[in-house]
Amino acid sequence: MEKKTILYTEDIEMRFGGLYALKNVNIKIYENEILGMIGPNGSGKTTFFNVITGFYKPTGGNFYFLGERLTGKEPYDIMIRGLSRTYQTSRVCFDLTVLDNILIGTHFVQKSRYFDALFNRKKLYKEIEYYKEKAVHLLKIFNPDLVNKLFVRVGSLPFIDRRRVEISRAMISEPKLILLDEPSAGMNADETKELMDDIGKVRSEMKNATIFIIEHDMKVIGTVTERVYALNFGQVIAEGTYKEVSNNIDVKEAYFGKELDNENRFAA
Amino acid sequence: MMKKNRFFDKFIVALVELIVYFYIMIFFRVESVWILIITVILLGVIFYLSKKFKKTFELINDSFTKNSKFATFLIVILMIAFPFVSKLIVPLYIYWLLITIQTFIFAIVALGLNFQAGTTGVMNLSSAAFYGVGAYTAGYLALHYKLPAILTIPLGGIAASIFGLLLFIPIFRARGQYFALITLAFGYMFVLSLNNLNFVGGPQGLKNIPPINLFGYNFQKAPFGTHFYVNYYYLVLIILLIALLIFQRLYNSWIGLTLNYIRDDEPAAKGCGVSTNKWKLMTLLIGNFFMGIGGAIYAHMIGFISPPNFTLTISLLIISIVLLGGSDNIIGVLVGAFILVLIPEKLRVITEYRVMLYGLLIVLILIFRPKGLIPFKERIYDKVIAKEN
Amino acid sequence: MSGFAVILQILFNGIMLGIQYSMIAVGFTLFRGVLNVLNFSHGDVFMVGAFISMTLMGAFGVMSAAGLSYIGLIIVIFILSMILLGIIGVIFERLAVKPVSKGPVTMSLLATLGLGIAIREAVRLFYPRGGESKKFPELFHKLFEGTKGAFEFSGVIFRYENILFLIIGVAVVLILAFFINKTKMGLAIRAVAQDAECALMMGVNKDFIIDLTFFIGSALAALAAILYGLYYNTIVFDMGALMGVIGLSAAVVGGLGNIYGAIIGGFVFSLTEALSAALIPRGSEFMDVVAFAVVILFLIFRPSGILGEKVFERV
Repeated sequence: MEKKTILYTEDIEMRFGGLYALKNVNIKIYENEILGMIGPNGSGKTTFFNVITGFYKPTGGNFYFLGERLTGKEPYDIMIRGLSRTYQTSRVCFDLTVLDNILIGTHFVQKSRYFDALFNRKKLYKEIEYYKEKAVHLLKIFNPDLVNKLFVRVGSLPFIDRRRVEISRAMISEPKLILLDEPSAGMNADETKELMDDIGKVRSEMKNATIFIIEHDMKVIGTVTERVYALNFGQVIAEGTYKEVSNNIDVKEAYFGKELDNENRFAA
Repeated sequence: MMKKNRFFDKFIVALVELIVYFYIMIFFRVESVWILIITVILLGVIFYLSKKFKKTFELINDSFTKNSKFATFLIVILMIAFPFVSKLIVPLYIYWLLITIQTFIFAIVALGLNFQAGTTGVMNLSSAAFYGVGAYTAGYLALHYKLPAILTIPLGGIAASIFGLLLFIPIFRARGQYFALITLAFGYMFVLSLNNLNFVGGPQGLKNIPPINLFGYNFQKAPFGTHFYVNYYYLVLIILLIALLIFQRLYNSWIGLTLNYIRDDEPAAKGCGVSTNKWKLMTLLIGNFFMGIGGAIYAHMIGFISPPNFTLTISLLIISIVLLGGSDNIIGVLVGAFILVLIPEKLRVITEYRVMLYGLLIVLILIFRPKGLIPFKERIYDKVIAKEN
Repeated sequence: MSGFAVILQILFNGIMLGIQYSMIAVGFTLFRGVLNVLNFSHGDVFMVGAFISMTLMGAFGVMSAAGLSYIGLIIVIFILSMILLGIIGVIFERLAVKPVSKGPVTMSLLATLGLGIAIREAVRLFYPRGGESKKFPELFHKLFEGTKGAFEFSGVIFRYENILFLIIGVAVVLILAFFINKTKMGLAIRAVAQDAECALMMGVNKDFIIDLTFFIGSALAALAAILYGLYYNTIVFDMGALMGVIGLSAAVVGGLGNIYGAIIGGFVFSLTEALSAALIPRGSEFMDVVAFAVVILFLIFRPSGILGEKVFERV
């Protein structure tokens, strides 16, 4: 079965002054897969995310989403084509409610604007009600408790719940590609296990979506992903299943340096 | 049992509102400064009691929340009756009427700034300049082109919006603090220019701006044997209520949500598909419009405007109103306007010290209570939506 | 006057102004670097410096002194004003500036704006007849008694006093540059400016450095105030308002956080003013507006300033 590519990059280069954060990066993302990206600190993973979401404009190369060239476009232009993302530092607005933080994810699909806000409240409420139901549905999957906290300040929730709100925000617009940037950052072992379950739930909830995860925690990558890219010093050094990549000499060198027998370190 | 509760709730709401209403009248009536001191003490006592008798206060709070439509309706009635009631109770009611009108005008301007700074996080430090654009546009058009108020007032608002666009579009690339700086510089340039441009009167300003004449009704006529200020009072009251309604509805909608997100985490907003620059421009347009309207009304009412009316100090006053009440809080803006415009009038003894106190107040608020006096309230789009949980 | 003479005059005016602006600008840039605040009360602190030095001159009976004791008195007044204002600057920093420095920069901008207004009004209200313009005593005149007082070059008259200003100004700038770049203390300041957390970990006493920076910035403002007073002969309670905005604009133009940039920015601003005053009809009325317009252009097209401030938004 021919796999459809939904996003691919051509020789992406990201230079900051004299430093190459990304160089000759060629990556393909296939429809419906769960793709992972690993690499030591500073290898350029988040930079790559930022490039394909428009936060950084690449200094060289191109990337295409669903056949359309999106290089140089602004984030809002890119995201409305069916991407969404979470952030390493879990960016949610602490002072806003849980519902608000999820609803913003529907920004480019909802229809009411100034006119309706002022003159056609009924239509507005109908739309909000509709998306509120969706949000409730999503939250139920992750943590039914949260359903009772729709109007609570997100800042008062524990970290893992804030992550879940952020993931719900990324999911509610039913994107074709979800980018998760180090979702397990800041979590302990138990929370990470919950997270892995969560990702599984995302997958079963959105059967047509493609998920792309950057991770540091090898357990997560090993358990959840189908295919992995490894990055080091801004370049792709390996690609394949987790097993293949973790046994790759270059990858081991990147993490541990030369001349060390580290077969065990990668055991998932 | 249900029916009795509903009536009881409304009774509580009416009682509280009437007490506050007549207390304000007394506040106006009593000449000596003692009334202010007594008020402060009373407020302290109430504050203390609210901690001790939490349950009772929560009950009162709930009554207001459950009957917010009724509460608002009653306040509007009271405000409509205000000129006539005050005539009976307060001997100097004409003076206080004027002060109240000024308070409302600043509230309208502050609502505009609140939409920009409080809701969207766009720090516009030259609100007085746009207030001034509205005033000068309306004044000039009325004086030299004999345009009627029905045109000059909206044109004042539109002029402020356009002026704002001309200024803000080029400087959008500038980050937060630089943006604020530029608006500050613009405020200075505005006053400096006014002082040197002769066609708007230079340092003397515009004099003899014609009063409002709405569909043949001359605002200089005193209705029902009161005073012609009453006409302006109702005009400003209507515009204030419209402004409140507009901003309330905008807040409780996608608009408010999106703008809040831009304020609190702009990159995350971009990541959700928000084209932040366009939205910020919209806020600037709308906010400036109201600032201009406020200025236009002021010009017609007072009949005389000059550069010192639109300096940085005035911008600071408006910012303090927004900060004191609580940014992004419509009720807060009203409270702030009340406190910062009305109360200093009582302190005529210390008029000299007023500006210094404003300065100190800003410092103190930002050090101790940057979120303002009125506590934060979550966005609940509609009670119905919030209920089904 | 010949074309050359005009240019020379403009240059000289510009330089005289530039020295004052630079010293204020340096204060702004230091505060921004070390505490991450835009300290709008600095202009009004400058004004306080003018009032302090004027009062000191009156109190010390400067006018009645003679000979060497006169020069000694001048030096004492300079130093005393600088120290006093330095202390006042630190007091304000501790009371009002540091507490608001933790929040977003726009908050500190507002708060210091309010503080500046409060200071300005306090002087107006509490200094005897504070609302009026005050005559600033002439200090250097006596030094040049018996001389022509000025010399001529290419049709432009240069007064000895002004040359003295120039020398003092340049000397101070050089001393400052030396201090910041070659001493341990200066190194500490630069460290805190670049990365306060890291500096703390390296053993630098952050709070002391912040106090020191405010002291230096305010002392420089005192110097600028004295030069201002001697140059214009008049001071008034709201002179700090405009100077504050100018100083900050100059610091931004030069690149916030960069001391050399602040100095350059000061001169850019003053030369722009001098040029517009000389070349545009009714220019002296509009020169501030023109200069601000230039600043705005800078902020649009090159917000990092002439010498650059590191600007980067992490996502």
